[in-house]
Amino acid sequence: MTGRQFPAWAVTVVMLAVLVGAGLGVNALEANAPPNGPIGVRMTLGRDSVVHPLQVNVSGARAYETILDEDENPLETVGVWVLVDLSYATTDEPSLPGDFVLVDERGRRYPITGRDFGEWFASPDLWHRGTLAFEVPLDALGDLTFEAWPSGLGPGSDTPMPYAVLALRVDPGTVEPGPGVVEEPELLPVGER
Amino acid sequence: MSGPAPYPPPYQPGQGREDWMAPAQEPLPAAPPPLPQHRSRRATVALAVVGILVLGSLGWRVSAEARDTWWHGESHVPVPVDANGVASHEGVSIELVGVERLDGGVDTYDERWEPPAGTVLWQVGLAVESTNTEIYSLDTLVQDTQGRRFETGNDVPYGVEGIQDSLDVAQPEPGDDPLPAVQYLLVLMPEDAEPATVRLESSWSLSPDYFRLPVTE
Repeated sequence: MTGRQFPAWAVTVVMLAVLVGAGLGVNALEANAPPNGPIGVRMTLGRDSVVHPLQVNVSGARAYETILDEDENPLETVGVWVLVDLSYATTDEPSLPGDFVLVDERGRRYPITGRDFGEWFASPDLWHRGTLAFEVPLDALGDLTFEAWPSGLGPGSDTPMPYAVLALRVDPGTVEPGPGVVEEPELLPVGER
Repeated sequence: MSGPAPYPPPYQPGQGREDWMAPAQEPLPAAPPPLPQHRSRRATVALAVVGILVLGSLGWRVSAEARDTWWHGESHVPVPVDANGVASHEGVSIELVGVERLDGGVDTYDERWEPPAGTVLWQVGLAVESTNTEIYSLDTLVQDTQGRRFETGNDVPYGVEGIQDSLDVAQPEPGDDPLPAVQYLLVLMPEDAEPATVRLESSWSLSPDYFRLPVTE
């Protein structure tokens, strides 16, 4: 065909611009709503890790036969209590973290106990230190995986949600009789964890 | 033997595989006439239109949930502020009276409260007038110049004289006290946070609209 209206280089430039624009758009979309299922961020003990909108710093885990509830009465269990000490804040918006889960070597998943305590509200760059209590059977101890889900686990496994994972070692031989004390979450001076 | 040998040859047990793969005896069919060397402009345009339609419809489908939850649920349409600094929407008029830094802490009902090192306590003053009977309260957040949003009433002491825990918007019942002329709320922010705007939101009763009141010196 003759009478071409647009020079080839212009067509090429426009098509490249459309391609790059589409790519940038998809990148932005992917950053906000990862389309390929949950995205795990690996955490390091004692270091700040960011899973938008949460910043988490886990300092360790310990196990007790008994802990005290908020009224200082002992909470008995047929298993053991695993207490995870951590501090967290958010990056840019106030938020109540969705879910914290402890996973054992056999893949069994334990949420934070519903008998008392719970997670606490977080604000940008204002860190609180506190303790999460998990009730697990004795044979779950050993190599554990701690998961933090800022926006919750979501309604189904296909829902893309970012989360953070941390390998935690709690030896069955280190279970203390207790009672362990779960401290109230404490607002920290800036810079402390 | 009459006529050309059948192809492929009938199967004979023990026959070699090569015979099966033997080339055809017939001459190759004539090559088709060469394709035109240029693509028709109409075809190019049609291809582009189809591509855009396909991409668009896929994007529309994929973004359905995001559009529903974000577009309608998140506060992203600011209510216009008039020349006097008053924003009015659905019978609620709000004016930002001031955002003030409270250095040195505050007195609560039983003790002195000081913010942790590296944080600063701020007081937000808002004048609210309302004829709306459905909105009872609004979440009040202070957004700093870095875009971080801090909610009033979080990490702040209770029982401070003249300070409310949350912003009252509801039109008072007949016989009740009217809304205070100015309502004061507390917000805690890191030392490096510089208040830029005050946001009043409600995901249930207001979204996607929200009040955005700029902080002036």
